[in-house]
Parts: sequence; C-alpha cells; structure tokens
Amino acid sequence: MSELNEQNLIAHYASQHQHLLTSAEPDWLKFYRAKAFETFTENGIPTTAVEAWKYTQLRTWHKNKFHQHPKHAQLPELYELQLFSMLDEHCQEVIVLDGVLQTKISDNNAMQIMDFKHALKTEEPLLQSYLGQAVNHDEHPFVSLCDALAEQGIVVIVPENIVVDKPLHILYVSSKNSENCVNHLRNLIIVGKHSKVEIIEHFVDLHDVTYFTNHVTEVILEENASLSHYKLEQEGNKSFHIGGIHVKQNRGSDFCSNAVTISGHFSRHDIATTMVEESANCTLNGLYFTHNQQHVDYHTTIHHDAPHCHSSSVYKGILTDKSSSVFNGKVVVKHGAQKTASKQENHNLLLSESCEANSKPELEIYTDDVKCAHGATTGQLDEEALFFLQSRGLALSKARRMLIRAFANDVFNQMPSSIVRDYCQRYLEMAAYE
Amino acid sequence: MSNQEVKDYLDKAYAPGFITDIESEAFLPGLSEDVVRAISAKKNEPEFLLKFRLQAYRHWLTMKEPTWAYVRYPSVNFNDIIYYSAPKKKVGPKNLSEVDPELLRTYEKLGIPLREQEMLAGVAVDAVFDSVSVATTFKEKLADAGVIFGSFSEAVHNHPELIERYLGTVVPYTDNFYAALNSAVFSDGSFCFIPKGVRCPMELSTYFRINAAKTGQFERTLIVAEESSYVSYLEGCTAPMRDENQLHAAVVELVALDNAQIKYSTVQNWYPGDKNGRGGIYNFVTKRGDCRGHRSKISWTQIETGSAITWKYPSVILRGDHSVGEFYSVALTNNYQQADTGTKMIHIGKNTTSTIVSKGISAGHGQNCYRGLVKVLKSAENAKNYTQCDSLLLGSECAAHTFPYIEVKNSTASIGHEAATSKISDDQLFYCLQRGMNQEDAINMIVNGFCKQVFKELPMEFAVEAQKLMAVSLEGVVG
Amino acid sequence: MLNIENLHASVDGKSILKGLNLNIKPGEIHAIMGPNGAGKSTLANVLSGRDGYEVTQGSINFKGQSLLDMNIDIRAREGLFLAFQYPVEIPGVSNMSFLKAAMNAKRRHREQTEMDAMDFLSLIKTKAKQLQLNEEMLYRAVNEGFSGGEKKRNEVLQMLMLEPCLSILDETDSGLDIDALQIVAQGVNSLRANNRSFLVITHYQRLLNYIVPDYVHVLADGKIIKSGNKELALELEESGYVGVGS
Repeated sequence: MSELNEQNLIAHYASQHQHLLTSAEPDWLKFYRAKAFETFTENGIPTTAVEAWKYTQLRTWHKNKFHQHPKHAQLPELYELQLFSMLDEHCQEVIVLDGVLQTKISDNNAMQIMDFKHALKTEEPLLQSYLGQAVNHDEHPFVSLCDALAEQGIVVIVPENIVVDKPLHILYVSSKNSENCVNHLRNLIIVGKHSKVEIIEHFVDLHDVTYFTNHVTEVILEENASLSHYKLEQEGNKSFHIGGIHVKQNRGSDFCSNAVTISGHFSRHDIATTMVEESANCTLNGLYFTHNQQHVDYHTTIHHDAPHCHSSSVYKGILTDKSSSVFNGKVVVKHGAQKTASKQENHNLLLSESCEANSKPELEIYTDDVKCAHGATTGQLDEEALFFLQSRGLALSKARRMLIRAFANDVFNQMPSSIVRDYCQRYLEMAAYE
Repeated sequence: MSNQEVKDYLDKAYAPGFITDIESEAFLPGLSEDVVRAISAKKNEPEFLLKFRLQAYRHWLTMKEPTWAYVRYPSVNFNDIIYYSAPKKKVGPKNLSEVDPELLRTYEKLGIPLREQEMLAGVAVDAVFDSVSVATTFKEKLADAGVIFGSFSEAVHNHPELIERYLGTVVPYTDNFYAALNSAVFSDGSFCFIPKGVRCPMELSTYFRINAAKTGQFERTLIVAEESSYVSYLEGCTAPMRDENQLHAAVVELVALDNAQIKYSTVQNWYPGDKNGRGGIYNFVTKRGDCRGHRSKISWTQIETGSAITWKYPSVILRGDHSVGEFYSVALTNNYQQADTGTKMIHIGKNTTSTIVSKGISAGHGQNCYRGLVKVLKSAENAKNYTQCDSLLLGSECAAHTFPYIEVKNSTASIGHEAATSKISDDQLFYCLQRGMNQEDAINMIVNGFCKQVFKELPMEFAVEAQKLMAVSLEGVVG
Repeated sequence: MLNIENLHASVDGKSILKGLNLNIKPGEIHAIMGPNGAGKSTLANVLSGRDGYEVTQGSINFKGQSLLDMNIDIRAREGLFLAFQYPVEIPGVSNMSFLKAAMNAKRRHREQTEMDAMDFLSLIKTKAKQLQLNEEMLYRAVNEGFSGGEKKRNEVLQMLMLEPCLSILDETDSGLDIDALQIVAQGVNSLRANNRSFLVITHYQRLLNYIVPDYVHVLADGKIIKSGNKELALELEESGYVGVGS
C-alpha cells in the first residue's frame, strides 16, 4: 500500500471524526474521541511489519472505501431472520440492523438493554465512568478508530445481585443497504456485583454484499460477576469484520468467552481480558471453520495482573480450500501475580492442500510462583483412526466426518449454553459436509 | 523456597574471570569503507572477499538495529569499536600461581585439567609443554583423513575456491543487521571441510580446546560436510571467558550435502556482568545450518550460561528431502542477564523432520525468552516437527517468555508444540532436603535433572562439565 | 530418642495439633492411628520441618537436641527419615545419583569420607534385591513413571541405605497389595535394632500385623486420646474410632 493511499484513508476517517466533534455529544466524549483518533493517526493503519498483524494483510481491506452511514433499511421479513434465530422461550433476542438497534428499548427487571445514543441520555454518568476502562488504544488501532467514530452500539447493564436466566441474543444483521458501508459499533456491557448473565453476539449477513463491521464490545465485570459470552461469526463471502471483546475483571469474577467462526471472508477478532484483582477466572474457547479464500485471525490476550487467578483457553481451527488462519494467544503474568495458573491450547486441522495455519501461543511471565503451559498442534486427520473406522465398515467420507465432529466437539463441549452449542453444531454439520 | 533464601543464594558473587593485557596493533576506532578495505588488505585477501565485505558494508549502512527481541541495552556506538587489532604478544601470567585464585577455584569446580587451566588462564604458551605436540598429533590425524580444519584466514589463502563457493550461501550478508556487520568486518574464525565419505576421526572439540585461541569480536565460522561425511564440532568451553570487547557478533554457517551429518555443540560462558548488571558481553550471533542434501542432518546443541545479553537463533534450513534438523538448548540467566534465544526450522524438502527441545532457567533478575519459528513451506510434504520448551523460575524477580511461531502451508504436516513454565517445585526441594542434601545441592540436582534431555546430546565429557557449569552459574541462588 | 511435649502446630493459621505428647525410646516402634484429618500427616511434616507447618507451642527433643532449631537437611543428616505418603518425582535425576548425593551429604555431616562408587553400587544392588526392586529402576529418574507400589518400595530402599535412627513412615501401606506390603514390612523389620526407633503412621491396622508396634496411640483432633499396646490396634479395627477416649 502506498503512503498516499493510507493518508487518503486517514483523511477519509478524519472528516467523519470531525463531524462528530461538532455534534451535540458531551465534551468528555468528544475529548475521548479526539484522543482515540490521535492515537489512531499516530500509529497508522497496521502493516504486517507490526507484530500483532504479522499474518493479516489489510491489502484487500484497503481497496474498499467504506462509507459511514448506510441508508435506512427496512427490517427484514421474519422468515429471512428465522434461519439465525435462537429465539425460543429460553432466549431473549434483540436485532441490530445495519448497526441500529431495532427492538424497542428493553428494560425488564433483570437488565437494561439500550442503544448507545439512548444510554448517553439516560446513563451518562455511568458511561463516562466506564467507557474505555478495559480497552487499550495503543495496542488496538481499530478500537481507536471505533472509539473515534462509532455513534451506534448497544449498552447492556446488569445491576447487582441479579442472575439473568434467559441468555441475551444480540443478532447483528447486515442488509443489502450496507453495501460498501462500515458499521462502527461501540458496545458496553456492565455486569454488577454477584450477577450472572449470558450474552450471544451473533453477526449475520443476508445478501452477500461487501461491507465492513468494526465493533468493540467492552465488558466490565464487577466483583464476583459472571459472564458467558458468545461471539458467532456467520457472515458472507465479501464481508470484512474487525472486532474485539475487551474485558476488565474485578475480584472473583468469571469470564467465559466462546468464539465461533462459521462463515465469513476476512475477519480479525481480539479477545482481551485483564484480571485486575485476585481470584478471577477466565476461559477463552474458540473454533474457526474456514472456507474458500477466507482469512480468520484470532488474537487472545490474557493479562494476569493479580494473584490467584486462573485462565484456560482452547482454540481449534478446521481449514479447507484456500483459507488461512491465525491464532495468536498471549498470556502475560505480571510481577507479583503469584499463584497464577494458566493453560492454553491451539490445534489446527488442515483439510485441503492449499490452506495455511499460523499459530503463535505466547507466554510472558514476570513472576515465579506460576504454573503455565501451552500446547499447539497442526496436522491432518489421524490416518490410523480413519483406517480403524473404515475397517469397521464406515465409508471414508463418514469416517472423516466423524473425526472432524469429534475434533470440534472438544470446543463445543466447553460451552455452557446448549442453545448455542446446538446451533453451532447444526451449522457446522451443514457447512462441513456439503 | 522463600524469596529471602533465593535472594541470598543469588547474592553470592560471580567468580570474576581474568583479563589479559594484549599489546596489539590496532586501527583507530570507527567504521568506514576505508576501514573495510584496510582489514582486507591487512589480511591480504583475494578480490572476491573484499567485494563481499564491501557489499556487506554498503548494505549494513541501509539497515537498522533490530528492536524486536526482548532485550534492553544502551545502544551500541559502532564508531567506538576498533575493527582490527592483531594480537602481537600475550603478556600473561608465567604460571598458575600468578593467576587469580578465584578463577582457579572455578576451574577446579568445573574439573578442568591443570594443563587446560593454564591455557585458559592465559599462561604464556611456552609454559604449556604438552599442548603443542598434542595439537600436532591431532593435526596429522586430521590431515590423514583429508579433513581441512584451521583458521578462517588460513583457509582463505589455502582454499580460496572453497571459501568463495560457500561463504555467505547460508547466511547472506543481507540477512540481518549483525550478520551484515560481521560480513563486512569479520576478523577471523574457523573453517572446516569434511570431504566426501569421511567420518571426522575425532570430536573437533578436543582439538579446539587445546588450541583455545582468542577468537575475536567478529568471528566467522564455516563448516562444510560433503556427501556422506560426519563431523562433531564443539565451540567454546565451560570456563568463564572474559573479553574486553563488549559486542560480539559472530556468524556461523553450516552446509551439509547428501547424507552428511553435522553436530554442532556450543558452551557459551562469556562474562555475564556483575550482580548489578554492570558490564558483560553482548552476544549477537547468527548461526544457521543448511541441510542442502537429501538425508542430511544438522544438530545444534547449546548451553548458554554467559553474556549479559544473548541474541541467537541457531537455525536449520531443511532443503534436502528426508533431512533432519535438531535444536537442543539450555539457557540460563541469573542476576541481570538477558537471553532471547531459540531457533528456526524451515521445512522445504519432502519428509523433513525437526526437533526442538529448549530449557530456560531464570534466576535473580534474569530475563529468558524462547523465540522459535517452525515454518512448513508448500513444497514440504510430510514435514514433522516436535517442539518442547520448558522454563524454570528461581525467584520472584525473574522473567521467562515463550514466543513460538508456527506457520504451516502444507496440509500433510504434523506439528506439535508444548511449553510449560513453573517455579522450582517446593515438593521436590523438600524431598531432597529431607534426604539430607543442602539447599544448594538440591537446587543443582533438580536443575540438572531439568536440563538432562539437552545434556545428553552433548559429547560425553562435556555433558559432565555442563552439569558442573550449571552449579557454578547458579552459585548464590540460595544462601 | 524423641520426646514431644505439648506440641501445638497450625497450617495456614488453622490449628491442627493441639497439645500432643509423645515419648519414643531407642529401639521402640510406635504406631499412630486415627481418623482422617486428625493431624497424622501434620505430625510427620512438623517433625521433618516442612515449610508451612508452624509450631505455635511446645517442644520436640531429638537425641538430646531441640529438633525445632534444626533445618530440614540437618534433621535428616542427624538421622530423621520420613517415608513420604506421596513420594515426589524428580525428572532427569537418576535414582542412583539421588541416593548417592543423600548418602554423601550424611557422611560428610558425620565427617566420614564419601563412599566409594563401587561399594555404593554393590550395596544399593543388595538392598534393591532385598526389596525385590528391579535393578533397572535404580537408573530411572527418581519416582518418575513408578507405580504406587514401586514408589513406596523405593522409599524403603532409601531408608535401608541411609540407616536412620528415627524413621517416620507416613501411610506407607496405602496403595500396596498384600505381597508388596509384606516386602515393605520385611525391609523395615530388617532395620530394627536397639538404637533405632520407628514412628508408623497408618490409617488401617493391617500394616501392624507385619510391623509389630510396641505402642499404639490414637490421634484425634490434634491430641493423643488413647495409648496402648498392639491390641489397641485390633480393637480399633473392630470398633472404629468412634467412642475411643470418650
């Protein structure tokens, strides 16, 4: 990419950013946005020379000049969405169409769900104190960009001492109006002390158009709060998706992240959590199933800043066609974070001749009383197992299917929610055996 | 073990090495094209080598010092360095009684024979009666086998065609900042050529140690093993090495043709600096082996206990089909030492196999980083790699990092990586103490057990010395 | 040999031993029995000096010296041996070199010369044979890949080699089949002498059929609540710990 091009692009974003600075937003937010944009321009758009983007080329992304505001879209017909729905009596569902929350503001007893603009009116002090607590602009250029530009987003507030029994399903739908548009989505989830909630963020695309989603989901877990988070990527063959979940965990909190890529084109996911106080726990699991020319990049970061915290992570990849994947899992144990235990695994299954898997499990340890381990494997289906199954009368295709399913199930079995588990398994089966 | 205990252990002083005064003929500090030309002229080098040096120098000017490694040091002023100095005459101690008793104590702990102690301590060569004849015997034996082994400068004059054919073919001068610098100004080093079908009749380690000559700041080593030949080479020694040059930037190139095997072992024990992190050697080394031939094998074994900063990644390019690359490493950092070390295994040929076993030990404020790349290219059908890297932590102020890069572009590859980091086990320590061992012996025993997988790859006599070296390097970890 | 007076000890601030008294004379075998959580293993760990076990009150006299003033390794060299309930694995360190280091540490302490390698080898082979331990196990890493029974026999092998004057056997019978139990017991019995004492900690009476104690003590809630001869063990086997001492 030529420098001129990058400057063009930055100028393009700068004008959008300028527009926001003259809006009616409160000053603290304008200041926050200005700082974010400054960081973004200082660091520039990352090239592969930047370690965190070593295996992800933004070249094709650069070719597209995405516009900010899609035309207002009609809510799709119900039948169009049914395919993606997990709606039943066990699940609460909200729809975000081209970045705009469609459902009437939902405020049941359990929790508040509202869009960012509304939250700015009703919950401004809360937003002001929480926004940006869990994100690091220097390390994540697209978070900076999102913070500089995003007007849309979902804010979820779970008060203290609430166990939300129904999982919240947030369905992000891109319509054909989103063609050549970008949605910057700035979400904030606050889970109060001793509360527990399950949230599913689900990205789908109805018409296979080229668009760019740049989302940041910031999560604050207060003392002993618990969040099971799911991110499902089920987008089209032209989609661009850069998104991150950034979590701050207070004492005794529990964060369980489950990320699944079912389909898509170009995506980069950051899942970063910082356990700032003692006895917190986090589990990061993921499965990516890639096709065609798809490129998926998962970066997980676990910061052990306090003693007695535990983390474990399993990421698995199934690669087909000419697809490529990146898994970069970083565990950082800060000086003084004694009695840390951390385990991390990444396994990649290469099912075609032309796929490519990159794996980088990292450990950075600055204290001594720790037990940390990681493992990684890359390879094909086990020949012997295949042979064994065939010798028991299974057709080769069936034997393969069985082994792929078993490989994926290791991740699915970790998911606390059977609704999501069933959903993913169903789609994976469909995709895997076409 | 409590932090106080660890601290006490760490506080024990490093046995200081010995510095010999060298009266030398030297250039003025600074680097320029003229200096490069002058080095070449001094050494009376052929045209091709001067060209190589100049190209390297010009390229170096365009490069930046790398900053990605997890090491911190004040930047080196390359114009403060003297790029040529020929030792004229050693003014050393006349016999061991003049040598620093602390150094002798270390030698004794390492079990180094008296004669070698004299060599290492820099006792004037005439005083060491036996060594000359021993060396001569070795030389004859090697010559009979057709093995060419000697200094790099010698080889430039005696076998320029071999140097021209192989120099820079494994590590091109464009490879990295320090390799470019070395290519421009390298002083001397070793050259080793094993002709077709020859199994080198002895470990070149033995010879090397008897001839422990000053290697200089910018060392260049080239080893070529022709078809179906074998050589085992040991660089360095377990005794602490002092050097007035803070920066060392060596390049080692290995070439293995069809069915050839090269086993390269290193024991690096340069001066690590004092317990406050003052002084010590910066060791920035580029080591790479090229398994150029089918069924060739290159094996690196390294014991890194010295230097203030270690930056090295002995690598293997697995070009030939069925070729094998191995990397076995123990890296120990104590006090304020920093090590960023690991390997690269580049699988190009079919059915290539690589094994990586890395053991890092961090104590004091030591920083220890494993950085490794396993790359399987599209052409590398059925590539296999197994990697294990473990880190042991002694004390709450040290750090250990693991950065493996696994890049696979061929689906027939089978790659496995495992890593574990933990502190020295309280249960193991208690078990040893309950059997009557003191804390220091117990730690040494556990640490040596931790390193066993790597030590067993060393030539026998060095495995024993390496164990003792660990004890000496860990001295002071417990009070 | 060992005299414990009013011993109070705690772990992580939790009081476990609450005024324990015990006197073991040279040549005697004492058995300590008691329900789970009574403090049996805590006693073994306090005696051997393990970190994390804090003595808050009382005294322990070992061969006329204050045991509590000695470091772990000094206690061991003075002849206190703990056969571990869970023997520890030490990867990369051969059983042989481990034992040799232990032997020589003890000999140096007594100002004896280090043992000759050949003498050591023939001695350890004899002892291993006595315990029906495969010779190959001497060359393997300490306890690594050993079965439960092998680990326990390996503990006794170390005991036979180091010839301690006070051996503490912490649940040495757990995980042993009857054959292995007899082998272990024979090993222990072969060490019996007028100048050696044993403290056998066990949950079940079974071991005491083979290592016959002079005294049996019941430990409950951090105190010895009842003492007797070997018959007491049989009684406990029949009636359990409920009601003892009340």
